[in-house]
Amino acid sequence: MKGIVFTEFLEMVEQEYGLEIADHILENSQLESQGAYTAVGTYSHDEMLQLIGNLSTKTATDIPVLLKAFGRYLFDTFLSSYPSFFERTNSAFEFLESIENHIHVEVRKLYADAELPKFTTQRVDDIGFEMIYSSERKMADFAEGLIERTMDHYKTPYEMTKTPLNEDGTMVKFVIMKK
Amino acid sequence: MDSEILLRKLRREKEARKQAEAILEKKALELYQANEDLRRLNETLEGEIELRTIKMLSSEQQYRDLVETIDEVIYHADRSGVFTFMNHNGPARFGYSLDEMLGQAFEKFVHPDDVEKTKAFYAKMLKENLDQSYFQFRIISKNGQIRWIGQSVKSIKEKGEIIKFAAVARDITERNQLMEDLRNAKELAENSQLAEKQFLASMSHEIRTPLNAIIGMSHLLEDTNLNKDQNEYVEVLLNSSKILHTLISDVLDMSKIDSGNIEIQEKDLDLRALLKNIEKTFAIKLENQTINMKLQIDEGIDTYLIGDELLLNQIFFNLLGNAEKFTDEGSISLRAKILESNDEFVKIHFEVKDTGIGISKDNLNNIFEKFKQVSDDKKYSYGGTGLGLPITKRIITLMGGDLEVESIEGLGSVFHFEIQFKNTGKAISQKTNHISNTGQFVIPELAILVVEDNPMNQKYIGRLLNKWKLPFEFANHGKEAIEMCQAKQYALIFMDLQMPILDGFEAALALKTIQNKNSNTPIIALTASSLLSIKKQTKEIGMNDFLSKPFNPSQLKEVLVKYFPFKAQQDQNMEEFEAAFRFNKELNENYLADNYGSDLSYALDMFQTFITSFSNDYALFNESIKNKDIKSCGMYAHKIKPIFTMVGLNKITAHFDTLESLSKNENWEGFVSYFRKVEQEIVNCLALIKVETVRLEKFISHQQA
Ligand code: HEM
Repeated sequence: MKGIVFTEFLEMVEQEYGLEIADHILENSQLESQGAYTAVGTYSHDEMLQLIGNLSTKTATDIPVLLKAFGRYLFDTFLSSYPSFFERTNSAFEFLESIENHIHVEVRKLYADAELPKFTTQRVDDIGFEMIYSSERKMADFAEGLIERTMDHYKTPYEMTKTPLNEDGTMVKFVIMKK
Repeated sequence: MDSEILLRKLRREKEARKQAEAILEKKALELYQANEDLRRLNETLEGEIELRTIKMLSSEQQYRDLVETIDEVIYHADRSGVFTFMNHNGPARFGYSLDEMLGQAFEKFVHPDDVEKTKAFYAKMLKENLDQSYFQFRIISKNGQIRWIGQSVKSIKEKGEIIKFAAVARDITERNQLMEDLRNAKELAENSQLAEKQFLASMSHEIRTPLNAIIGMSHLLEDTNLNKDQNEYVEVLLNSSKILHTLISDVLDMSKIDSGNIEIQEKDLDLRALLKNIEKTFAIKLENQTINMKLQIDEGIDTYLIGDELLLNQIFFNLLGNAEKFTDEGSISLRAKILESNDEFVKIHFEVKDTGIGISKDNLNNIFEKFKQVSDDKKYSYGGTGLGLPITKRIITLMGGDLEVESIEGLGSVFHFEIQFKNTGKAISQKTNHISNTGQFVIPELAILVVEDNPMNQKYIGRLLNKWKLPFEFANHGKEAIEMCQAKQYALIFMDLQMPILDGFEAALALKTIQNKNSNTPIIALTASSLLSIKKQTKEIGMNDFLSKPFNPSQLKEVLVKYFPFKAQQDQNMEEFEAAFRFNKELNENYLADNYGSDLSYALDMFQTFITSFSNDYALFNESIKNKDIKSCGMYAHKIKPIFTMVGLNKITAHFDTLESLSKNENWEGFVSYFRKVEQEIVNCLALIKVETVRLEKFISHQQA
């Protein structure tokens, strides 16, 4: 997993819960990296699971809630760091379509070892949009947060349902309807 | 506590920085490595390019070698016609070196008279983006010689646009010279052939004209009070001139057949009536002799066939005349028997049998050969030319049959052949619509103008017209005729074609084009010439009918009844005639019959409307052409198109339809060239409609009278 995910995650924890909590979850995890993350490095996905797990225990908050919040947080980081990706598209659905076809493609060019999810999208009539997430890393909740902020960013009122397509959470379907 | 946390954070950050620096250094190394790889790749690529260039150069050398072995000029020229590549060998032929030509524009070498043409050729290729084209022009060789060049030029294109030309040019001076010689030789041959034909035609004219007068005057002489001796002289006079006439006709027929200049008319044919008429004529001829004329016609011949009445008459007259000459007593029989018959065709076997002296075996072989008379018997020749039987045989061959003869000396001969006619399926009606000989023309208000230079012929026609009480005036040549036509309107004009001062063609053309009172008056051409092309020419000029000289009184009458109502003595005949106004055959009879039926005044109304509306629109149409305004050309074409159908001229409607679509496609060149092609036809048709309108008017007013 790319370092930027870790640095941003810790940034969020420091902001939301304070330095102490951030330090606590780092100290209480068995981290191969010793918790020394740089945005350009690559680390084991397992470290992220430990950090989130510890944060959940410490703050008595469910992991999905934390992942979603992280997704929302990261969207804003993307918005300021990679404005060009947003300039290309005019609507929320167009932007969501561009993740698989363009954004993550560019990410892969930059970081050959990036571990990215796979998205399939489909428009339903004028107002509906279906997006299926699939990834070994089971981070649909994180995706949900990103999607929510996307809709906000494009000022599109919406309703969203999230349906797991299997038991282990590697396949999840989002259905978004414009309101 | 807080400071511990901060310390730990600081340690982690330090560690992270070291990591980042390590990653950066690693990346920098990777970058360097990648750059190195790129440089090496570059070097190998450069080497590759060098190698390929060497290879290419050597293969270009091969092409060059190849190109030098060729005897033609091979070159590249850029868009402005400047030579950029050329083989040595080519220009050397014309005394030029490669250095003199490369970098120079083609104009420098082209014959001054052909420069514009050559420029236009390249300009056209560029403008129309042509792939390939061929062109001939002249160049001036170094020593000032003019040489003809034929070059095939190909465009070399990049992204669809011509960037240069590649051409193979060849010296075709010798070839052109050869072709020119051939053309000249051919022209010479054709000219002499034409001269021969013209000589024959004009000779026959020279002979026939006075002969026509002799025959005509003899007929008139017969009608006067003559004593017995005088009567006999006239008869001899008539007979000899008729023989002379036959002779000329035969010679002429033969030459027409030999030159393929004979036209078989495909018209409805009542074979039964034709054979009966022939029988009647011969029965009268044989009245005073001890010879019987027998005719047997197959009952099955009961429909109109398609055939040439005139030529069939000639066949039977020749065969029967021949039989008559060699039979002293007994019988001559003519038989027509159906061999095969269905809806499409009828195949008939004809036989002319006599009980005459017969033909010897030796002579049987050559009786069909030209100018070979049966030597030991002077009598065995028809009309004295020895052409009667050969002509008959050739006419039958033209009709798809084969004339054969069987004969036993002393017993008689049988001439027989088969002809297959197309069948119209129309039943032959029993009633014959024969123009009654007894009767009268309705005297017209306007006179007939007879334009004829020969005073004898003038007298002949004059007597006949007097006899029928038709008023007439004479003009002695074309110029006089035009003057008379400007002063006065005539009902009909007879126009001799060969006249001094101004001939009939020019006079007729003038009457149709210049201001005069007779531009709508029907013109009947009179000519002793029998060339088919002349007949066609009279039609093209807009003459309405054609009467071949010499003509007999009933032939003249046949023409006249088309233009002047004729009251036959039997009332029934008169009714029949009046009911049947025949439109000119050029018009679509079916359409006119369907639309106007017997309501001729309605038809007249439409014809008159046509003339005014067409004249207006056509003037505007022509104006638009002058102004090159293709849009309004199309508009008027559209407007004019349908009105031609109204008067039964569907073919002109089709022309305007084409013109309309050409103008819609904005194809100005195509439009103009098509229009020039059909213009004369349109003008002729207008003249035709004018004539028909006048005829209709006259016909209706006579009906009412
Ligand atoms: C400018 C926009 C975006 C950028 C630059 C971006 C870039 C990235 C990067 C660098 C990663 C980490 C890959 C790794 O750790 O190896 C990632 C992962 C991920 N991205 Fe994006 N992304 C963007 C937008 C989005 C959005 C809008 C979604 C939401 C649908 C999304 C869904 C995800 C998910 C779910 C992952 C986690 C990996 C997984 O589940 O397999 N991304 N993205």
